[in-house]
Amino acid sequence: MVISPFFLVSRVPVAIALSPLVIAIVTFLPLKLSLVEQRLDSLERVVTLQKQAISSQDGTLRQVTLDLSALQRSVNDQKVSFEHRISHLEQHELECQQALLQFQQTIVALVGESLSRIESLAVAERLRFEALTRSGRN
Amino acid sequence: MNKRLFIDVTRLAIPAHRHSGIARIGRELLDWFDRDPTFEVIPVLQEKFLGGDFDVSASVIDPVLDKIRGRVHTCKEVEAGVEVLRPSSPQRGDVFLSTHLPLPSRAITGEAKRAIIVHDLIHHPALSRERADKPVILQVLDSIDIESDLVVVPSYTTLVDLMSLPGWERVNSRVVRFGTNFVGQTGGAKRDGVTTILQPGARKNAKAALEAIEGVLSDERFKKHDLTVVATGRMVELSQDFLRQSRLSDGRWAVRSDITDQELIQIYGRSAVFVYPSSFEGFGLPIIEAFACGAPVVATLSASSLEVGGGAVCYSTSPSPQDLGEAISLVLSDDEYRAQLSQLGQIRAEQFSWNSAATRLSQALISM
Repeated sequence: MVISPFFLVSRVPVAIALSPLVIAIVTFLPLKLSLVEQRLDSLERVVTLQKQAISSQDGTLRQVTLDLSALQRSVNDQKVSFEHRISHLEQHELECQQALLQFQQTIVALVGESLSRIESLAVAERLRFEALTRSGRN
Repeated sequence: MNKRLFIDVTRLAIPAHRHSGIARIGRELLDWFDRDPTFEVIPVLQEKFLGGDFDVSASVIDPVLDKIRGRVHTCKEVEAGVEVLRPSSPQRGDVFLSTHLPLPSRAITGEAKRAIIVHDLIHHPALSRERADKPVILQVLDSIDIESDLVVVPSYTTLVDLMSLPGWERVNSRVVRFGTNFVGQTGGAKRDGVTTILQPGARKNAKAALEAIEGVLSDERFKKHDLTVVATGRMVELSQDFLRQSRLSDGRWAVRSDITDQELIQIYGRSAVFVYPSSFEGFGLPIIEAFACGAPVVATLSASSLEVGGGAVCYSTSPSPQDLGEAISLVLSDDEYRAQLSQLGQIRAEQFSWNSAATRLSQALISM
């Protein structure tokens, strides 16, 4: 606050009346200003520290973004790989089913053939036995 | 448009093998497929299995092959390890069938579908019933791509042998039992003969069969019977030597070789018993041929003889001269038994026609 000389002359009594206040102001104002300066310095330090922290976090954020991007690519690659493997496994499953079917058919045929051989041998042996019996009678 | 069928029948051009059972199968298939309008047949000869002086335009080959000599393709080596098929090569949509030898390389068969007949695995070292000195079976197996080639086997006996080899459990296989076109004589031909087919090889039991037959025919009861030996290779001379020193008089035996189908039909037709002593075969075609001609059959009991002969055979429990002799004696001494075996055999032979075998093979080739 600026007090003009005119004001002081014209209002001396007022000024005198106000002098304790002025004295107080004059006395405490520099002190107050000093405190403000200290406060500003402190705030400046805080701001500097926060700027450093933000800068650091910005770096971290960029790294995280890069990491996320790499992770995304890896996930995509793995997804393609898994899809390929699933497709391969499905194909393999189909082949296994076909092989199993063929194997089952072969087993059924072999069992049938074995039974047929047993029946054939039974017939052959019966005929042979009958012939041997006739031979014994003769 | 007909499907082109390249069919490897190299054995028909090898004089020493022309009368073998395997060559007969190649001949029958060639003849059948050539009459099948589904296929345009192209016979193939692999020169590396023929003599160096073989000339397809001049050499005597085989009656069936001679008829289509103009279509014969030859697979020849043009430089070390490099073979070409001339005059043309198989294309996509064609089929290449090998009837007995290894499949040629993919460089020869190209994108054609491939099939091969594996007759038996008798000479495979892992399954050998006798000395494994014939590596052709290893070449045959090496030439097969298990994933894509079709392997045709003539019996479940051979299929089981094949599938028992490590890695061959999933082989793409088809059982196609062979057949015969032989037809028995009618008019009640007199059956006084004893016939046997003798081939070299320990499992063929030729000597045991000769000893058994000599023993039986020396018996007074069987004086009216004579013996015909149909022999191949060195068994011709060995049989003659044995019989000259036997108790049988010269007039009671004959050794025949290089005979025609018609002559073989006649021999079967007058047989009171046909003796097939082999311990093991991939199929056993002579049993079916004897059946078709009404000849009662005595055979050594084995997986293959039982599969082919069924209940229509008098089985010898072992290939010993004693067991074979007892079976032959039993058949010759009992008219009713002979009649039963003859009748059952003819019925069974009807299940083994070339028509049904070739039709089944044809279907398998078309569906590839």
